[in-house]
Amino acid sequence: MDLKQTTNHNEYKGLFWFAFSGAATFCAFFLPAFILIHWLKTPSPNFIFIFYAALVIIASLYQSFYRIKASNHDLKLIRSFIVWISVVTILIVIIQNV
Amino acid sequence: MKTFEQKPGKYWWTQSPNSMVYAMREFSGVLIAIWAIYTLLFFAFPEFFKPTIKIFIEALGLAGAIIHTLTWLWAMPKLLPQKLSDSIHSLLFVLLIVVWLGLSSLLILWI
Amino acid sequence: METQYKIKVIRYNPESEQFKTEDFTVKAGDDITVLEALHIINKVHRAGLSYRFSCGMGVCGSCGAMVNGKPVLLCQTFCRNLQQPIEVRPLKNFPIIKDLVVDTDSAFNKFRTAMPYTDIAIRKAPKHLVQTKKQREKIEQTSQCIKCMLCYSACPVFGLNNNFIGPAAASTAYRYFKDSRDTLKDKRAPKVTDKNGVWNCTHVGECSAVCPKNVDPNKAILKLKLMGTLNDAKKLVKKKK
Repeated sequence: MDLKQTTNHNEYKGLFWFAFSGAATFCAFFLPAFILIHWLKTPSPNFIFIFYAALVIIASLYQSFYRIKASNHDLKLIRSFIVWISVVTILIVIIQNV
Repeated sequence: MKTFEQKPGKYWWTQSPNSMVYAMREFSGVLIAIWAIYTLLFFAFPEFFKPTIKIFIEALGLAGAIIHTLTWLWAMPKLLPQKLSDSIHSLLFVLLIVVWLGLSSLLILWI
Repeated sequence: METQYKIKVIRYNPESEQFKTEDFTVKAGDDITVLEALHIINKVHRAGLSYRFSCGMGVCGSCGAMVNGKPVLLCQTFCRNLQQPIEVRPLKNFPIIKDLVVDTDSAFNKFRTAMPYTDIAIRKAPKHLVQTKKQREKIEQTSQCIKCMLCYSACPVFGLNNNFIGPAAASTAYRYFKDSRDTLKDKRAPKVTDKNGVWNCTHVGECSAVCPKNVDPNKAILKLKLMGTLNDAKKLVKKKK
């Protein structure tokens, strides 16, 4: 089987991938601390906290969705991901209504 | 006469330590995505969700974030341009963990 | 001193399209490899096993197979280091032709994408043939690839998507990108960063773990991705100008 050559791929895939790597590295260093702060301290919303929160949430969303998209494309994992997301959502609905 | 086409099994990711680390890294993406979406919703409608849900989601997010941090920091030294021995790789991983813990402590104390 | 090795071979019969597991006992010294054990099985047990081999010393890359679940070169794997019974089966991710013989064409064809050659001979410029030690060092590691295809067998992305360029072809492409004599970068780059190119790699790292020559395709792919990113950035800047 020969490699199918196509030209209709994303022109700036490299930049998206680089942004993903950056976001994932940022999350690796700063996300756990943010979750702990948000969970345990619930600080007053000053500028630094809002800036930190915005960065962390944008980076988290970008890197996690890029990852879900990539692993679905490469490894066809979307079904197991959907199952997990559904399980968590159902649990949330149950907790909310108990 | 026919060749036999092989496809990876459903549980291919359990067959080697590298694949398991990879699967955990990818799976952490799902937990983080769930956490990020619900955190945005918490910010938008703080009174809608019960405190127990907040605890549940934060715990889920924290688990995902820690898995992501550990697996990502484990992968980082492997991708350095230099060829590293296993012991140097482990040492760099420990150093990155120390940096991460230090940064996190500073942030928690400061904010 | 002779040791008894229990060897379990998973065989495929293309006529009946059936698999069967056969157990053999091989009596041999401490220094035999799995490849030599298979030779003994064919000689002593008259098993008629089909498998590929040539040099028997880890140079030709012909004798790849799964031993105890890991893709290895049979000639480089000593029986004494393995847990018994030693299970030998064909390489994963490739169509099985017979017994341990697989069709590796799908992986070999990916090397066309890597364009693993230079056009020095055509241009007749002997000056370009001379490489400094430093220039040579840049391609030293990636030049070691013997195309044994163990990395393709270990790669889950290739297993699920046969069109993916894969580890060996990507690291070979990187080797030529880094070659001081290379003049085909512009032609090779779009192929390597194509839809089925290096971007599909998820860095599981199995390719580097199984490479018998320590080539580290995982790292080579990352470097190709960084090169691709830089090219994209340049393209974007040019477009804006």
